[in-house]
Amino acid sequence: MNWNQDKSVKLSLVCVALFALILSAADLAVILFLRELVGHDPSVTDAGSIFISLFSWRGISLLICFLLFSIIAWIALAQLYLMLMNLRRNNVFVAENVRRMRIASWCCFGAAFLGLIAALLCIHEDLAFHLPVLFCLALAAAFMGLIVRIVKNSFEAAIRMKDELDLTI
Amino acid sequence: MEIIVNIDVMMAKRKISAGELAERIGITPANLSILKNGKAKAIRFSTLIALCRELNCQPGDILEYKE
Repeated sequence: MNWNQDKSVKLSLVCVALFALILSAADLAVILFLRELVGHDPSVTDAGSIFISLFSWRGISLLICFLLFSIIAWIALAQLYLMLMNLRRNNVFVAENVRRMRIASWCCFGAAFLGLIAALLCIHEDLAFHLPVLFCLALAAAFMGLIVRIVKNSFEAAIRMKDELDLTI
Repeated sequence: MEIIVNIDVMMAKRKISAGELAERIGITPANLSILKNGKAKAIRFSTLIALCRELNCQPGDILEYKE
């Protein structure tokens, strides 16, 4: 198979599309996901009781956390998609890509912060089993943000070097 | 402090056009314009040698240090 840069960028685009699909599915399943999170008792089938359980202060807080997380994830995915489109046009070391990476990096840090908030909301004996997952998620998001930030710093240095090289006659 | 590029002065003295000079030293007219307007960040020795050869001058005639 003749592998080249264009195919690599296409593969990255497919991965971004895949993540977008996963995120869409998570968005659609948010209510069910939240019911599990708030520890809804399955024996309660009364619609009114389920409604109260879902819209308790903890349920609403977790719903807000998830919605904010979803918005942040969509913003990060959009930045990655637009950056990949720039790469396809051979616009690699440009200020626009640095800006997109900065936004993606802050999105990762934002997701980490929301993960911590969600973990704090789950410090409850019924929901404590979610704690390790949420802490790991927050840690992974923060680490990803750090990686993206370092790549962004490298891009900034590369742009400075390119400008200098372009203006060397 | 800065380095002033006096290529236009030397070009006027030698009565040579920018296009002709660019062609003789093997750079594009756009790059010669960058050099003339003082926008360049650096100049290669090979470019300086070619400029001195074609303008029949010394590097000091082209480049000037100003406080």
